[in-house]
Amino acid sequence: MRYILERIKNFLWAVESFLVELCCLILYFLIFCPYSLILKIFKVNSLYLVNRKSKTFWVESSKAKTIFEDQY
Amino acid sequence: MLRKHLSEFSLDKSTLYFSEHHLSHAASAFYPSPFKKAAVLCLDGVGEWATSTTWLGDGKDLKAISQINYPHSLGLLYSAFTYYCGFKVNSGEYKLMGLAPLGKPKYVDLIMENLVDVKEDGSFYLNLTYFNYTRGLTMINEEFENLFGHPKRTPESLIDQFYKDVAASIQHVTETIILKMVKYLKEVTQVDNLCMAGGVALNCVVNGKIRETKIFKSVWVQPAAGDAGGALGAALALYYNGDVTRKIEEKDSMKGALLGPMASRSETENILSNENIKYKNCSYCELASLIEQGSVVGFYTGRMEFGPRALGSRSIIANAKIPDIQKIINLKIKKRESFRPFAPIVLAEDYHRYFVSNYDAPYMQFTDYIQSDQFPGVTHVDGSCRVQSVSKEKSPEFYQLLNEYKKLTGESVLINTSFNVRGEPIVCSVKDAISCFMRTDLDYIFLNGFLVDKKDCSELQVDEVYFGAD
Repeated sequence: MRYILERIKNFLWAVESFLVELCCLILYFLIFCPYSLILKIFKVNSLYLVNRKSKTFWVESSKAKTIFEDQY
Repeated sequence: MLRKHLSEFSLDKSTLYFSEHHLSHAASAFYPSPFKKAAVLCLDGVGEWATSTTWLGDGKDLKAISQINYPHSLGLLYSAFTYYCGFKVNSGEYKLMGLAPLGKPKYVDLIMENLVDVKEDGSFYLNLTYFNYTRGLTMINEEFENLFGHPKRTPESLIDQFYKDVAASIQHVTETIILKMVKYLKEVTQVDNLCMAGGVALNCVVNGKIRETKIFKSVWVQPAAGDAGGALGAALALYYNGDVTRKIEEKDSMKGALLGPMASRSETENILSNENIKYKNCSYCELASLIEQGSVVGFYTGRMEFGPRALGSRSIIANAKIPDIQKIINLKIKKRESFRPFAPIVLAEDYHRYFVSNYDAPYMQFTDYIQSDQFPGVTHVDGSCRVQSVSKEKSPEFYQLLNEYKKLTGESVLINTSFNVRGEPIVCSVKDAISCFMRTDLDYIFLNGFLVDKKDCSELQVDEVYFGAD
């Protein structure tokens, strides 16, 4: 029984170490990786291609504020 | 901060109103226009979030129709190319426009396929892969340079044909987008008149093409279409938000854009006397004769112009028929790029005699095509020019000069360029004008009816008239 518990404990240690390593790696990547590469990886720029399907890019201004508002 | 400064004028208890950026532009375009009802198109870099807005003005009401938001901006697209071609962003855009006729629009397809998605109604979406202005301090990135296969042009370096072609291409793309927008606006509003404002509306080549297409019967562009006009627009928007009736003038209510400071004749004379500068009274007839003989003259009269154009109050004037006059003024006086032509001024009643169309152009907001090849100093390589028509009502002093010149020579076209040197704003005060005169190769300066000859100023040092104490 004691042997089994020891094995489980070792396994959990290994998992924890792995997760810590992974988090460090992600943190390192986020800090030092070029911004443009992140955009490429997460395909942020593909929005341009997605939006090509739109018929218009005009947005209705009816909800936009056009009346004066006293700021104070 | 506003409250703190307003307290200096005992206005800290007043109510503060805020006018949105594009509302200010739209108001600056519509309210001074000669139209009761008009569509309004505002195009600029960005204001709050809007970059392009469409409006319908009717009486004193101004209703927003549609908008395109940041980062998709026609102004910023043009600025990105201004940057790529080695000119300063926010001030060099007009140089890019001037460079365009020297190139061929070879890269239109490349731009349309990769950089901007344009719909039939003129709305557009930029591919941000190639731009850096949303997240950095430059307009474009390496991908942009790779797309065109050339690096960004180094400022002040020789402009090779590639950059001229790029300038022609982005000018063509801008015209395509705006003309589509104008068609859309016509469909949506079904009115006869169009007003425009925003920095992009200073592109007089596009404005000329809009007028040529006759989509709208009349087009009026705010003379101070850039952000300076926003101050006027904000004031007008607030004024017409109240219980007032809108008065519409037959031409427009901008008073020739002569809204700036002025110096009286006696103040001018005092300054000249105090600085020991030799001067004499000069009639417009004498001045016209000097210009006819080839002299380049600084012309300073009345109120200063409001907006970016010199419309005859703070101008440098010369004979447009002299073959090398463009080179002389560009290199000796204005000290600017040699490819840039100058604008012609013409008596309003003689407009049709020299130019293809027959419009009123008192604010130099449209290009037209000259019919004669006798005026090399004001004609671009494609035969276009940014003409100003001069009328007695809007520019009385300028009108008198042109009239005398016509009596003398039979022609009523002269060169008009802003009274400044490269990198400096247009002169405002009499002292600014004399200082600029002393540092350039201008032959004469005409100051509210007094003439100063450069030969009489040879002993004066620039520092002596720079008036550091002021």
